[in-house]
Amino acid sequence: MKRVFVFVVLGIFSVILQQAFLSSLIQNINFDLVLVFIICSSLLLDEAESFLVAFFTGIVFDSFLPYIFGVNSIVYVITAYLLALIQKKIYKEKTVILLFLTFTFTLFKYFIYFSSYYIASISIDFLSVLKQDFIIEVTLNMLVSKFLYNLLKGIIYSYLQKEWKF
Amino acid sequence: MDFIKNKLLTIVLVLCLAFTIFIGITAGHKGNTGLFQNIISITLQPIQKNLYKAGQRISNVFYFVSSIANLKKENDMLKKEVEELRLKLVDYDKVKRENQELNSLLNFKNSNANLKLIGANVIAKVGRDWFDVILIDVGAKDGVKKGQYVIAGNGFVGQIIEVNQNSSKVMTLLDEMANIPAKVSSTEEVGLVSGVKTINKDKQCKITLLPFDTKAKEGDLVVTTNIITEDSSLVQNDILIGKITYIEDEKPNLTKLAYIRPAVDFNKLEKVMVIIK
Repeated sequence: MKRVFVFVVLGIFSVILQQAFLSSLIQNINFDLVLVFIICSSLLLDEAESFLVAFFTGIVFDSFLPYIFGVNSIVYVITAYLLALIQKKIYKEKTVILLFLTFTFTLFKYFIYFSSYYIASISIDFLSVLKQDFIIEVTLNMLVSKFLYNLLKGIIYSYLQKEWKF
Repeated sequence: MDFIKNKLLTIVLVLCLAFTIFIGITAGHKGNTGLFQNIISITLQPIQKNLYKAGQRISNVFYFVSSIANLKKENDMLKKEVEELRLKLVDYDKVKRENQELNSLLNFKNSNANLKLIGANVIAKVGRDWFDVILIDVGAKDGVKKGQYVIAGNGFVGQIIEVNQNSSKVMTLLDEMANIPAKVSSTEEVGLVSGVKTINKDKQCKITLLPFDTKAKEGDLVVTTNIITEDSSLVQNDILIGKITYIEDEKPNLTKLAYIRPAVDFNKLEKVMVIIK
């Protein structure tokens, strides 16, 4: 439970960092720190833990989004669930795997965003968003994911190691 | 924890369904406010406020350092600009007209003494690349209402789209969905101003639905206009939006659209004012 609490706090902190600090530090910031955080944490925590972290972080993030509530929560919960399913079957320490997963789930996020906005009849020029934002965002997300994964792994190994049960 | 682990797929599916319904409901209401959002925004507001300021300061330091390198270039550019301005001085009529326009806009507050304005700090930029929305630290308890206009020192910023207890969301005119009624100051032609999706650092907006035979030209000023005649309307006239930089045909309509450089520097926006009537 301690791990969940710490990661939920880190998740909320990444939301604040994304929209208050990074958005004013770098103009037109183009990477999704919160999504990368969810991907990395889901690879490090077990199923239930990563689900809870994704759920609470998603709800907090959605509270700030104008017009619609729930898009990020769906993206994060499904991302966490799928990663929790596959994380034991892959060699997640390999950088290329992490980069591939970041790429895939960034693409998945765009898919859910487009679907939700279509359902909600919000007019957004999908093609220009895809052309202008996706390539840069996915590249930066992949770069950030490597650093964030190592950082979160360090935090878990140093302070939040699970005790063995025999 | 074990319950969640055993029923994870069911929980995920139920949540996805619930969130999809939420999306439908909140999109229908054109708003995302409520008790939960209020609690979260009240709790996180102080941290966001300070982090936003910290980010602005660090950004300013970087800007200062990078501007030193550009000093020579900037100096040349300014000299060139001074020459251009001297040439412009000769054109007395034009200067006089522009002067009158600018004076009327700058004296907005004086000429609208009955307007009530409240100051606010920008505390976050939300919606990332998808929306150009800023969060300000005044809300319903300060008298802010949905639809009110927000201005900065030198021009129009946007319109309040959501109001919480002590914070509000402002859709800036850089957002593609802004749709602010406006007119070209010199020709009085009315159109709609909204943002332009661009990857460049210098974001622009555009005024659409101008007549095909428009007399508007580059350098003309665009200001807000009130197309609603009701007294209860929150919309204000003659707030400077920006200067026209380029005009082109609007396809497939038989109208023209003009790109505008906003008067407000949205990259450095810290303090704004809400016109609460």
